[in-house]
Amino acid sequence: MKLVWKIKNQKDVERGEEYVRKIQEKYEGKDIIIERQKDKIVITVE
Amino acid sequence: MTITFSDPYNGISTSQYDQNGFDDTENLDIHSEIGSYKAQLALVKESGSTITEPVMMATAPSGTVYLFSETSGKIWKRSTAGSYSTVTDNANATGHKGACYFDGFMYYTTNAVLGRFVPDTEASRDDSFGAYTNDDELKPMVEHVNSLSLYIGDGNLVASVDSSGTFSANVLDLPEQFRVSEIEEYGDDIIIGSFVNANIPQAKVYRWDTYSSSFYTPDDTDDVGINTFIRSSNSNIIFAQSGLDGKIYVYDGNSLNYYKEIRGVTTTRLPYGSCVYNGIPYFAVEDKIYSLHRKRRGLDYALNHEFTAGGTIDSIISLADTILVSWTNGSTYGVDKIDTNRSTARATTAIEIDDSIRDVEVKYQSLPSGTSIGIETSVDSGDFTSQTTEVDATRKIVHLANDIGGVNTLKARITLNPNGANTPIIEYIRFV
Repeated sequence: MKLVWKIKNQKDVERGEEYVRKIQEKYEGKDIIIERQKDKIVITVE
Repeated sequence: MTITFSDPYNGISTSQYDQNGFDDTENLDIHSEIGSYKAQLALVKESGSTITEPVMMATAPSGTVYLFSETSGKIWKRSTAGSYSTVTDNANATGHKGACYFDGFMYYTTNAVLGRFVPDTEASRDDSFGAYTNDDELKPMVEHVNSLSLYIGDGNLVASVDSSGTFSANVLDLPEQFRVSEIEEYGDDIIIGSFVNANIPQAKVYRWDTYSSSFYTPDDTDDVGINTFIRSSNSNIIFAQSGLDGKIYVYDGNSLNYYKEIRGVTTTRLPYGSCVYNGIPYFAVEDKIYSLHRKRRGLDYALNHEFTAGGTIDSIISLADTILVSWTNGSTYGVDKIDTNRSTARATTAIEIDDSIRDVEVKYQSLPSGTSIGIETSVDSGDFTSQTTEVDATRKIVHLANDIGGVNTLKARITLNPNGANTPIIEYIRFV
């Protein structure tokens, strides 16, 4: 599963981290790769 | 003095005192031949005993219809021949909240997880294709052709899948308190209907071009949520059914303008509750399907109760040759299609305030063998009472056998009793 969180402003940065935590909790035990880029966070759940 | 109730193409009027239309209609066809009306084709259960839970439906390009349970992970499909079969359950078995075809895949969603498969074969299946931020129970979806994307409401966010198959959880934010209750294409843009909660009479529609960082020209109503967008056959005329008591607005691209109200109904959020069939927009309320249609420019869009389903409607979709209607009636569930036989239909006139009325005449164009026309009257706002009638075949009129005598106000309810596919065709009702 490949998930993208778009960063358009500072609020999106903070909410993006909440989204990352949620995905980590939801798919605990699975390999999760997080790539933080300037305009988005890409989360890959293996 | 006489009063003639003609112009049936005006549909249901604003109040029972508004004589520019019917007080109410039921299973009536007012658009086939302007100036006359007849019993509409009936809905008939097609799904047999296969469908055992409430479902929402989505159509693949092949014509295969997928039916997703709203209470479990169960999935069924309907072939183009109208046969129903079971598909492997969704592993995320919490009940589906939305479904839509997009770019080679049938997408289906629970409140928390988006899944997809290739329609017809169910190949390349992934029940966990995307995960949402809000886990909100409202998950309206729309395929937007202009941006080649699928948009999905998720609380105050809009998520998307683009043409490269990438799931993005937050392509648009609404203010925190709003939840997306409905999404629809609007030309090159999309419009987003919203809902706060059952205690707040506020519903906004947001318009978004799909690429700017935020929406523009939001407009609101003082109703508890946008329930259903009703697309006309012209995509730039969108109606919004809103609130708890049947209000309908027309959206002009910038603002919502009050248009009509369906009297005597309770309305709720139903994002999969409208479709266009044979160029006529239809939408579901309770167990009824209404149309909002005009036969030509210059006429008003008429509100008309066209069909009645086997229970409270969960979703409707249109195919080339029918409308499919999924419904719940207690612990019974089903999917109806349009039958070849007609339904018993009714048309109720507005009130006439006139103490000289003695008779009710129903002028028919056609009264085929085995069909009949019944007349009930409500005198001085009392209950409807069935009346004995006579048929004058020479004048093509059905009228009361006995003088109604001494009334202050009168309302008539006409019943069109079909015989199989045959129906009476009525031209007007006259109080004389």
